[in-house]
Order: sequence, then C-alpha cells, then structure tokens
Amino acid sequence: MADGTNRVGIDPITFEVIRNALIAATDEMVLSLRKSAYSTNIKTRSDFSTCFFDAQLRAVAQGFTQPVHLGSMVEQTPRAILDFGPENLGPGDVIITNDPYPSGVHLNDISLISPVFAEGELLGYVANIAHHVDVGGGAPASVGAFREVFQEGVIIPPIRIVEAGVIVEDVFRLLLAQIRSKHETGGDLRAQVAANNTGVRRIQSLVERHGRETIVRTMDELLDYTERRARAELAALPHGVYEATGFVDTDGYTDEVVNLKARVELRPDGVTFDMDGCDPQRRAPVNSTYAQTFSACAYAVKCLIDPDTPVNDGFYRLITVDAPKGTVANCTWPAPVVGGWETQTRLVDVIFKALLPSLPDRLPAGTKAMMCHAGFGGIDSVTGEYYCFLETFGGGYGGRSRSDGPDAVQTHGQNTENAPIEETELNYPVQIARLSLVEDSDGAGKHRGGLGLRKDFRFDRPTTFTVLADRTKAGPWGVMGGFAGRPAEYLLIRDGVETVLDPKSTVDLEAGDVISYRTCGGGGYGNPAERAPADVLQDVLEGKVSETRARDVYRVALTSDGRGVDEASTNELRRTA
Amino acid sequence: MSHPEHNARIGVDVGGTFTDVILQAQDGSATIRKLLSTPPNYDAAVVEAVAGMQAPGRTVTGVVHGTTVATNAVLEHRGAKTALLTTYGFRDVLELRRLRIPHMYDSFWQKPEPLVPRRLRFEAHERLAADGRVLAALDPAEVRLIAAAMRDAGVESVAVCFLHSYRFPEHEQLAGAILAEELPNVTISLSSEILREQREYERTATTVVNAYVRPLMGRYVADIRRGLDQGGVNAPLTIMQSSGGVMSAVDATHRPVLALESGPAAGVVAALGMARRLGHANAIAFDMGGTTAKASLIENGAVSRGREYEAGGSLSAGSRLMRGSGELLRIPTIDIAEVGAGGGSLAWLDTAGGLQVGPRSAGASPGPACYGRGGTEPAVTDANVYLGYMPAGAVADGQITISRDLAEAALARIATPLGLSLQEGAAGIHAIANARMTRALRSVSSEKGRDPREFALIAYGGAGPVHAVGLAEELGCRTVLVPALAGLFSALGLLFARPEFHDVFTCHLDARTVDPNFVIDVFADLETRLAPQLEGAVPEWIRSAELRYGGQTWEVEVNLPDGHITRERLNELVDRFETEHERLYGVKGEDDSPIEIRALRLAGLGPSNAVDRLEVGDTAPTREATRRAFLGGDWIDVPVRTRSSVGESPEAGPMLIDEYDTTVVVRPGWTARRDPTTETLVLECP
Repeated sequence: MADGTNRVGIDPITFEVIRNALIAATDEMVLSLRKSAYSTNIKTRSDFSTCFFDAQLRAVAQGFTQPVHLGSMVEQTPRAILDFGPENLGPGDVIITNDPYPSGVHLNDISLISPVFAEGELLGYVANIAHHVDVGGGAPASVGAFREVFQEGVIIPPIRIVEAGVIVEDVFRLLLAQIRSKHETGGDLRAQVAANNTGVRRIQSLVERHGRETIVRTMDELLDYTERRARAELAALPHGVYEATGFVDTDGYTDEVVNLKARVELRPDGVTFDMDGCDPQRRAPVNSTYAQTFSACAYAVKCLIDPDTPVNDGFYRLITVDAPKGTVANCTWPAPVVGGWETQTRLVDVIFKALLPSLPDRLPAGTKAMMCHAGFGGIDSVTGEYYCFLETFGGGYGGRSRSDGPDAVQTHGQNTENAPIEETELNYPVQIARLSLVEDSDGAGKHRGGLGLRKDFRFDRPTTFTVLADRTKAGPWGVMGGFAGRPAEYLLIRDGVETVLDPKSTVDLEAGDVISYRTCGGGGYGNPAERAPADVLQDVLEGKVSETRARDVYRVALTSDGRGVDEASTNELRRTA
Repeated sequence: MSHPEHNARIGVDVGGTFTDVILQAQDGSATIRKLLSTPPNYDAAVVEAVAGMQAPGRTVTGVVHGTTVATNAVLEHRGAKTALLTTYGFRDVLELRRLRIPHMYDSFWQKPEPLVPRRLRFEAHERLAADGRVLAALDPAEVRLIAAAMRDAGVESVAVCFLHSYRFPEHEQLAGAILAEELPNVTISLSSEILREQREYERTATTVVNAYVRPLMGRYVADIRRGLDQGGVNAPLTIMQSSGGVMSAVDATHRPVLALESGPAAGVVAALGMARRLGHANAIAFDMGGTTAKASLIENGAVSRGREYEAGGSLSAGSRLMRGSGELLRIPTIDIAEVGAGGGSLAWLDTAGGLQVGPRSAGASPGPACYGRGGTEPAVTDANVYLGYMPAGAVADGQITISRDLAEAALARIATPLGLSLQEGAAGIHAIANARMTRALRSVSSEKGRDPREFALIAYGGAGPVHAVGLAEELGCRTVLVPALAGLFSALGLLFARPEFHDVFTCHLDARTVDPNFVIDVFADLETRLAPQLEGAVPEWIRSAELRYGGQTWEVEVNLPDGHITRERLNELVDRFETEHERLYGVKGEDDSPIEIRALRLAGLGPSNAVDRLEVGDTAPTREATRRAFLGGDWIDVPVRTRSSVGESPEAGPMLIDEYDTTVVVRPGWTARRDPTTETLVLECP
C-alpha cells in the first residue's frame, strides 16, 4: 500500500466509497420492501432480509436485517441460481423460490433473485427473502406440526416470476391460488419485486459512476479485505476443539427431546463445525436444513469477532459446517421444515455453550433460543376474506459476565419487531388482553437472565390458532453457577379454565377463548448468592422478582417495609447458603 | 418611542460546549458572541450573553432560543420523577419497546433503562376497542387511589397513555382531569394531546419524554424570562422546535418534547432561508462540527420533514433501520442524517491494517493534536492543517493556536505503520472522513431517490467549509454555498424560524369516495385547535394527508392541492400519492387498488420576522498571501483570501478563504463569488 493503493490498484478512498455504496444499496432495498409491503409480518415486524451477490455468486453486501436469513441466503441463493441456470437469466428477470431442497429454508420464507446487468454484462444478483404470512398448507399462517414438506404449503422451485420486467401472470396466479391471504401476499410479492428493482438500479448507477471494472475489482478486494480482517480476529481467539450438547424440548408428536450436539474447532484460519451426534430427522417440525444450520454457525462466529467486520463471502468462507445428512441439522427431502428455525436458533445456544468455558467474558448464558411463533387465521365473518396473522415473541436473554440479560428481547439473529397492539386490533378480529413481562421468570444468577414475555390474545369469533414454539420442559441453562430460566408456557383459557397446550399444536378456538404465551426467562450467569443485594432489591422494587424468590434463591432478606436490604439477615442467609 | 430601524432580534443557541449569540438589527448589521456554556445552569450564560448585546438606542423586539437542555436531560436521565398510567395489562409497553436488538451481532447489548421505572407505572382497569366501543369503563375511584400512590411516591410529573386514545381520548381526558385535581402541583401529559397517532409504544414513549422534561423545562424557561426581565429585555421569548418552527415560551413548558434537538433544526432553517434568497429550490444542508456531521435535504423550497426521532440513538446514517438504540420520539422533526465524522474525529488502524476515521472523537478536550492541549492521536483537523487547508497559528480571536508540528507528529502514528508518507496519510484521512460523510449526504438524497447532482450543497459548522467542495465533487454537486458566520449558523437560523404548530386527525377513509365536505370539516376543526397557539397571527396553513394502499402500514405523506377541497382535488391527491409511492418504492398498486387516507395533517405557520440582509464584515485577519496546500494531487501555493476580498463576479480557484473559526477551501476547477446581500460565498464548478 506504499503508493496509497491496495493490491488490486483501487485507491483506499474509492474502495471505501464503493463499499459503503454497496451496503447502502441493500439497505435501500430494506426500506423499499418494508414500506411497500402489506402483511404485518413484513411491513411492521421486518421479517425479511436483503443481499447482493457478485457474478461468482459470492455474497458481497447485506442490508440491516435478520441474521438468521442472511446466513442461510449465502447457501440458498447461489444454489437457486445454479439450478435455474445463470445463462437463462436476462435483464429484468426475477427468479422466485422457497424450495427447502436441496438447500433452502422453510416454505414461508420466499426468495426473489434478480440479475444485475451493467455495461451489457452480468455483474451480480440482488436477492431478498421475506417471511410470508401464509404460503398455504395445513393451517392458517402455514405453521403447524406437519409430517411432510408437502403439507406445509406451496413449494416453489427456482422459476421466473418476472420476465424482462413483466410479471408472469400465469405463475403469479398459480401461486396465489395456493395461498389464503391473497391480497396481502400478492402485495408483498410485488413489494419484493420492487425491492429488487431498487437494488438493481442503485448498483447500476454505481457502475455508471465508477465503471464496471473498478466495481468488480473493488468487490474482489472487499472480500479479501474482509477475510484478512476476520482472520486477524480469529487469530486472537482461544484455539481448540470444543463441544456441547443440548436439545429441542418437544417435536409435537412424541415426548422425546430432540438431541443436538455441536463440535466447534476454532483455528486461526477458520472455524469448523461438526454436527455429528444430532438426532436423525423426524416427521415433525424440528428439522433444520443445511442452509439454516450454516446460518446458526455463521451467526455464532460473527458474535465472537469485531462487530464492524463486514459480513460477506470473505467472512463466510472461513466457516465450514459438517452436518450429517438425514439429521435434524441437515434434513433431507421430504422432511417437514417449518419448525427448522426452532432447531436452528437452539443450535446457536449449544454452540455458545460449547465455547463459553473458554470465552467466559464473551458469551451469554442460555437464551430464549426459539422462534416462538403464533399464527392464526380464518375467514372474517364480516369481510368474508381469509385473514392470517403471524408473530414471533421475545424472551429472556442470558446473563453475561458483566451484566444481566435484557428482559424480553429477540435473540440469536432473530431481529424482528413486535406487532403493535393498536395495529393488530384494527386489522384483525382479535383483542390483545395483556402484554407484559413475566415476573420471577429470570434464571437466577450473579447476573440474572432476562424475564420472559407474556402476551394474551382474546378472540370474539372462532379462529384457528397454531403454536409453533418450544422451551416447555427446560428453560435456558444457567452457566458458571447460574440457574436456568423459567420454562415457557402456552395456555388456552376457556371459560376461566386453563389448559396447557403442546408447544407445537393447532387448535380451533371458540368465541371468548384466550391464548396466553408466557415465554421463557434467560439463564443466569454466576452464583445468585453473589448477586449484589442492591440489584436484588431493585428487582423486587420493580416487581420483577418476588420477595420470596429474593430470599430463597438470591439469599437476600429485605427490611420489614420491603424498601431496603436487611444486611444482617442477608449475611446470615448467604453464610448458610 | 423607538425607530424601527433600531429594532433588533437576538438568537441564542445553547449547546453542550458553547452558547452562541447573534444580534441582528433591522438594517442587517449583526453582532456575534460566543460564550462557554454554563451547565447545569445553562440559563446563566444566556442571560449574560443577551445582556452583553444591549446597546444604547436599540430595542430588542424578540429573543429566539434554541436549546439542548431537554435533550441532555433525556440523555443523562436527569429529568423529573415521572409516573405513567396505562390501560390494565400494558404498563410494560414502555419497557418492552419493539423487542428488536439494534445491533445484529452484539451479545452484550443492554436495553436502555426506561425513563419511568416499573414501580411508577400504574394501570387503570379501562379498555376501549379499536372502534371506540367501551369494553371496560374508567373508574374514577380507582384513578384517585392511583393518584394517592403517586403522591406517596413523590411523583413530579405524570404521563397517561391508554390504548386507542389516539382516536378516542375520552378515558384519557377523564383520567387527566382527576389526576390534575388530586395532584395540583404535578404536570399531567396526555398521549392524546401530545401525539394523536396509532402505535402504542411510540405514543407512550413520546408522552413519557414530554412528562419527563416538563418540570425542568418549566423552570428553565422561567429562569431565562426572569433574567431577561432583570436585564431590561422585555421582548417576547420564543423557543425553537425540532420541526424548525418556533413556539411561545409558555407552549414550550407544556409540550417540551417538541423542543428536543432544536439546535440542528435551526441550522437547517437558516440554510433554507439562504437557499431561497439565492434562488436555489433544491439544496443539501451540511453541518460539520467537531464530533458529527449532519445532512438534511431541502427540496422544492422546503425542508425535509421527519416524524420520528431517537434521542441518543446510534450515530449513523443507517439509523433509520436501527430503531431501538435510544429514546424513541414521534414528533415533527427536520429529517437530519448524522454520522460520527467531524473535525475532532480520530483516525485509527483496524486489525486488518485498514485506515478508519471516527466515530471516536477527540472532542473539546483534548481536541485535535494540533491544538496543543495534550491530544496525540491524529484527528481530521490535524490532517486538514497538514494539508494546508487550515492555517497554523492563532484562530478564533486567539482562543485556539494551531501547531503544524504537532499535527505532523500525530499523523506519523498512522502513516508510518501503513508505509505511507505523511501527505498520503493526511490525504487518506481527509478522504475517508469525506467518504463517511458522503454516506450521510447520500442517505438524505440518493437513497431517497434524489439525484444529488441537482442540489446545491450548503456548508456550515466549524469544519463544513473545509470539506464541502471535495464532498460536492464526490456527489456531483456543482454549487456550494458557504454562509457568513458559518460557525454560528445555528444561532442565525433561530432568527429565520417562524411560529409553527402541527396537529393531526387520524382516520380510515377511502380516498376515492370520501365526502369532500367531511375533509373540509376536519381541517376546519384542526384550524380551530391550532389557532390559539398561533396567538392571533394570520397563519399560512399547510394541509397534507397520509395515504397508503389498503393493507399497507407505512403511509406516504403528500400535500393537498391548494384551494377549496373538491372531489377533483381529492382525485389529484390520489394521483400525487401514487406518483410519490412509485418514485419512493419503485412500484404502484394495481389499478383500482383501494387507497386509504390514514391521517389528515395541518401545519400552521406564523409570519416571519427575518431580515434578509446580513452584514458582518471579515471575521479573521489576513495572515499570509499564499499557503502551501495539497490540492488536485500536488502541493501548490494557494492564494489566501478574506471573505470581503471576494468579488461579485466569479473568480477562478484554487483559493483558501480564512474565517473566524474555519476556512473555505476552493479547489482547482471551482470559482468563487460573493453575494453582496447575504455575504454568502457562492462556489461553482463551471
């Protein structure tokens, strides 16, 4: 760099300018999709992602979106393009796909991919993936305990949805015919097309300004730069082989937990994951595809390095994932996949568990680590239209070496927002009866886990409701002497009688029924008897932890007015602990 | 008693470090003063500064004040002991926020502490449905019990936010009346009065911030008023809003949330005033200070409006996507993008040997290395001094002395490990800072579908004029405007602001079939509501509507066509919406897609008292005839000029125009001329 340029002859300034512009292009796709979409899940909760690939199908830039998607797109999008044949794509074409096999994600996540031509030649591809509120299948919102992928909705292999700028109406109509929420999904698909158009235009104007050659060389250098930077980060990690086991609590059919195992090899030149030891795939909603498992591994590594390191192929190429085929970490056709994200996110927790003993200051205790879907729908007796609603809920984050886990947040690369109550009640025949923290759900620790979330839905008309979640047997584990968070509960309340629902089940509701989610708390970090008494007092005053729990678990006694710490009694309690 | 030509108005901008004051007389002559701010009693500097401006024979007719007092109280959690009253079951809405973590891969993110702790969040057993049906009536006795609990807790201010109150405020109003009766010395803020908009978290958070800063703002405004009175200034005091309009001091004590971030807004307002007078309908206002750079779009002669803002959010041009890092506010704001790149931003090497600039800043202390106040790491200003863009020696009336040797020593710390010469290192730092700022500039222009080449760049702030021409080249802008008093431009902007108030009617109307008379009635009602705040002035009304395709959530705001509202004008509104939607998002709805009006908005603007003419003269001495500077890839001797020496006809660059606390860098290929009325420097790339 002695002459002020780098190895490929791009001056550092042009490099920085183009690098920022590529990210800006994918961010702009985010805004375009979010603002013009129709379903609450996309427009309000931002359950989608955007990415730009070069002509060699390497991920170059990503929008600020969902890490769970981003990590799987780098597997799925290239395969879809190769399957379709890049030579069959022309300017203005858009491919659509949601096929989990050979390597996609669940059917609800539909990808649209557009080639970017510049100066008459292929420069790369923009892609976006969005979680649709319905893709057909066995239950409204296309979530449920299905046994084969065919029951989960319409399967779309990579095909053209737009040809030379014009929507292929036959295909569009065929797709919509399989789907319940036609108006919303039709609008969402058009918004996805528009987002890609935005990305294509933005990147083309970049080429107009800097020239194709410069852009191509900059992208090469960006990936190499990223690799250098990521390697420098990896060099600083404790190298070695680490492993841990964990499980998904239920599969929706049997009482058997779904065992997971992760072996992680940290090396200066890369990270290799081996998922040998995960259970065989099941005819139940617990199967993660290879792309999903890769996404879990990539997310975990990204959490270990400088957050400013770009995320693109230069980073992903350092990660190797071996997951035996036919297991819940790499399922094969025709296994059902809708619950794959539940397993994917739990794998992140297992990977963190494996690494935590050697990186105790860098990783949290057990965390919500489930998607925790709620889906419902039916034919609105007033409008006559089929409505579908989908939301996922936050839960407790694990305690960290220096701080408590945040209460009720999304976790592990699931980065969606909530559905606002007022918007939900205005647009869907439901009343939200409660939205609150779950008191005493924290995994106790020196740094406690975050509290779970409670959300109650009351229906005044019959509807069909699906719970697709987990964490009912064991809450997120505690570490370094911390306790596990309180497990989750999913309740049906009918005429005042509570019934515990299976976390992967679909129920027909009657008018007046209430469904209540109480998600798990995060695991604690460190011995709760070492928690600062002032922090325990604060939790009690805030109504987050009960006085009983403060005494029994945290070993802190309060004064008789409940407003201070009784130091003598506390010392006594802690001495005998 | 006094002659109008002796009348003068005063603008006072209180920032964290400096209090800037400008007095402008009716004849355009201006006096400036920069004082150190006096936290925590910021009002002391204000009173002192204004008193110092008094001159015999002058009558001060107005004092306009911009302040960061409310913002700082929120950022530093120094507001009032505040309670929140919500619908039963929803007291945690404030704390739950939107669930999202604002940093994608950060295992150590901490949720900001809510401004109201959980123990001061109370619930009332009331409930309305989305259509206004009463599912549970409000029980006055329960509210009285809650009021007693608040009293026992020593609460100083209360926010009330019930579900669906944006449409149906009756329960909130009743609760508010009872609380006011029970707690006579406590301020009560109702969400239906602060923000009549759907989405409970945003409305609650905004109302809570209002309640949180209200007692403090009340005391602050009263102190300033008293100080002015004692100093013999009886002129009305008005306060800048983040919308760029001003409000009366009394209003500011009721709705202080509107005054958050009023400083940056003032700069944009001043930029707008200048752009208009110089005949530029389209411009980008660019404000580069010590720590951050801010950009805002002026289009068709109007500032770009935002409706959402995060106090203490991530400093990033991408922050529109990163909700959740600060205190969310839904208030009318000027849409300003911000990046952590300013004159004090430090250069550093990342782990892969990449050169980075910011967001860490040397701040006011120690400041850039060249200030000789103990800084050793190179800042952007050090690079600018080394490159000859800024002078060595005493600047800003001798308050700062710049050492080129110290700048070199600091730059060597970065250049040597990279194998770069000092010149390459300095040029690299300057250029990377430009690249970061380009991102902010793009986020308000090209990322919104606007081509920056069609905009003039208005550069101000201490470092703005140094970088402006280089940025203009990067963006393709062909005109750069540098106002007089670029470093005190926000204070000047206060004098351009007009009284401004907003209200909104949230609705759910079919845009194609709605009865025009209904819309007329809504606007008549909104006018009635706003009129008292405008205090009798005959306002300019700006009517707008938020529309969306049926089923969408995010509305697009477009102005209503002027004139009496008819079916034809509403059809034109629909066309405007569809055109704007396509321009923004690249897609139109299908033919006959339902289009809904989700809100009707009215803004009332009072009269302007701005004086167009500005006379300040030169603010810096001439030090040298030429200065060696690195421009266009070479070291050249560049003529050094003062503003007044620049004539009215374009002169070819390069040149360096030294000012009070900044330098205007005119790069080769650009010309400079001076607008005689406003003393603005007009730089053009022919």
